[in-house]
Amino acid sequence: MANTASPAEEYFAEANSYYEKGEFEDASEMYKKAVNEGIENPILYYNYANSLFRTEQLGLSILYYEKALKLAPHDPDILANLKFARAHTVDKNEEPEQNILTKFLWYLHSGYSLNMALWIFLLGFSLIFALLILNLYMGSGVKIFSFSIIGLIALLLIIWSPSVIIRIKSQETARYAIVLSKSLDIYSGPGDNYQALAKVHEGTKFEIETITQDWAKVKLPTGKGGYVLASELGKI
Amino acid sequence: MEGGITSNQVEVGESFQLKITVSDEKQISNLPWPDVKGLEPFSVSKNTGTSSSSQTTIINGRVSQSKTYVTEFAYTLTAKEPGQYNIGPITYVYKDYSRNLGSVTVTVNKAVSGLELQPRLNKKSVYVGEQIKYSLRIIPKSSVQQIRPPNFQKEIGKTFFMVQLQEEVKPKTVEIDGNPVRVFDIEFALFPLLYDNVKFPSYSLEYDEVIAQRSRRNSVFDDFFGIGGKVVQKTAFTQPLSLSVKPLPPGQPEGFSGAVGSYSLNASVDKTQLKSGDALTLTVIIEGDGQPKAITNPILPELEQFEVFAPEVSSSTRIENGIYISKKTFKYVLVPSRKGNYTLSPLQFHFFDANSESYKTLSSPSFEINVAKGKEIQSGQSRLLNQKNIEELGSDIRHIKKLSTALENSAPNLYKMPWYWILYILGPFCYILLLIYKLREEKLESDSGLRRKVQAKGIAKKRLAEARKAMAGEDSRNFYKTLSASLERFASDKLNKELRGLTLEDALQELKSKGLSEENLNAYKEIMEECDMGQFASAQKDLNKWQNLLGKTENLINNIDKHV
Repeated sequence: MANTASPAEEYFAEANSYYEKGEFEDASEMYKKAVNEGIENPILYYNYANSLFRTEQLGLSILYYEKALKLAPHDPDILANLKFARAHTVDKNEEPEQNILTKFLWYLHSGYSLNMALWIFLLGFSLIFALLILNLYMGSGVKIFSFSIIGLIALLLIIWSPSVIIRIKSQETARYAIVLSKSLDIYSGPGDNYQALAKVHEGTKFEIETITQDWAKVKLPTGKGGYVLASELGKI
Repeated sequence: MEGGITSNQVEVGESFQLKITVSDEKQISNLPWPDVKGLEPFSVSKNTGTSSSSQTTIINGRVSQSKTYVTEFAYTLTAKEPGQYNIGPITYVYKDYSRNLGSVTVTVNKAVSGLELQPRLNKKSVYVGEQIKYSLRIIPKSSVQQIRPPNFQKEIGKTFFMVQLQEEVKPKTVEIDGNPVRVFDIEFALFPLLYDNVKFPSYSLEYDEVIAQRSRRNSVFDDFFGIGGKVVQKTAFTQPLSLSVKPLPPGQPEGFSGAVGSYSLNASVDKTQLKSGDALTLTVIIEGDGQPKAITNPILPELEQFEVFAPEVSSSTRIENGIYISKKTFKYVLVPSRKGNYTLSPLQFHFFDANSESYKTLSSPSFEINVAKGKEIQSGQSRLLNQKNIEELGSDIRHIKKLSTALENSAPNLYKMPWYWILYILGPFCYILLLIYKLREEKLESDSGLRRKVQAKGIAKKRLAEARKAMAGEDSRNFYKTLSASLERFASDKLNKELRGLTLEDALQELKSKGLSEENLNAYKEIMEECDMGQFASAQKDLNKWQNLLGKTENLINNIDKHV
């Protein structure tokens, strides 16, 4: 029987075997080849990030953990390794601690994948019409009951819809990047002739607001912002 | 074309201008800059501008007017070192025009006035993260009015974590060669971020100096009004310095956080005797002259019988004998879960001692804790155990994953799929369809006339099928009977009239009143009469005739359905 594995799969398998043997440089090269084949897969990104971390390319490894997380937002392995890699950065740009209420609200907003949210939304919407159809042939007693269920579902969907819309919008518009160079200055304007405001280090995550030529206007989770050389960043 | 300099005797740091003007009768935009050799010893800033002048001349009564456009190329030059410099040759080439303006000699004297700058590093070679001090002493002459130092954060902050050691630079008086001299000292504590050979280049400080200018030589007013002066903007340069930054040697102990310098550790507990469930506070203070960020949480020993809460961390800095010292205090709350005598093993903090060039470990003393029986803590009611967090971060990354399926692109976002949005239409569409059907059913239920009208054609079709069957069976009587019954029933349904008692004449009259054409009325009459004849007279079996009659009836039913 002919071997039907794609080149990307062959690179991936070879990289895994190098990694198992502790030959991380070679593993990293092979994962890179698989990535260059244009495959967007969270496991590929995760393994590549592991090999980058092992070869002390912290910025790139965080970038690929983030890329993997974007495709599989709740994968516990990706989350654990990203947290571990972040603990090795010079800058501790961790997001502020949340209280129980904000944690709960945050979970309601993003504690599940966007696709799952969209399926639940469609299911709720279809359920409303299924109950309306049922009502056409039901007696008044059942009607009152099913109308209250319809009202409840509709209310939940109305309350929940901004969360889903925000997630779709942020998926489309929000752009994040990771510092790939050892250190990077943040300037007050797009050029090194402006005042240097702060210095950040490899692995720090930025939100990109705009990119004009060589300079990117960025914002740190702490709220601090400015301009940095776009070539020193890796876009997630 | 002309050229010249504003002064050929200047001091180091004093600015002067080299001006070259090009005149022409025509205005030419974007004239090229002249080619000037020998500008290397100077710091140069360039400026250009164009002006015009008009001249009217009268010769022998003839008036003529001419206009000249003058473009000036100005070079503002500042010499960095004393010496005699030759600026030139200065050549100008524009299309076919070329000219050599020759050269000019400038003598740069050592600055006898202005600022004296003394930059200094307290060490020539350091390790990454080790503190060094960069100090700049500025000794201004009395004629200096304003000093503008460079942005050191921008210049030095690229390679160092830096802290300015004074909040405000104030003048102070020191004794130099037995004389009191007013000086300004700017000092920075620097912590190298990367190992390399670091150059501190020549930094420039701009300042204003009042140059004496006697307006009236030996005037009697000189003493009274003082000496006139003009303010000149000058630049002073620091001497460049270099520093060697070495990497830390191998053999870093586990848990080493990058602290380089000299450090001290103090630990204490607020009580040594308590009941289980009560809290004791372990306070650890670490201070040293390394980079402030390098002081991280000390390594706690195994504390199995204690719940350890996340430490409360406070930090402060101070300057002691010109050295920047950072201090961090960690307060751990420990809650023993069971009674017993426990020993808190020493806590550790590792740092690299730059003086002895070795890694050292600071340890706290051990504490004996006597825990009496008190409130029992149920297992599972554990409150945020800090050690668990440390374990998580201190462990290794999780291993790579294997694929259970083929390596392919992950599922695309649902909202980008058109079919996902089409599914939303399905529910409302089905609902609307069923609603319309239900309303129609209800209407037919309540209006029997309408129901008969709507169902008439269906019934007629069934009857015609029966007639066709009778025709196939060559049952003449049944054929004519079924055919006439189907037409009659159809007419009575459409007209909402009782079938019984609806004579041919009544039917024709009613159909006529509903607007049925004469032709169709005749056809109705003919079919009914033929059927009567066929039923009661024993007609011959003529299948073609029956076929025609059946077709005619079908057409008529269709026509009545359309018009009535």
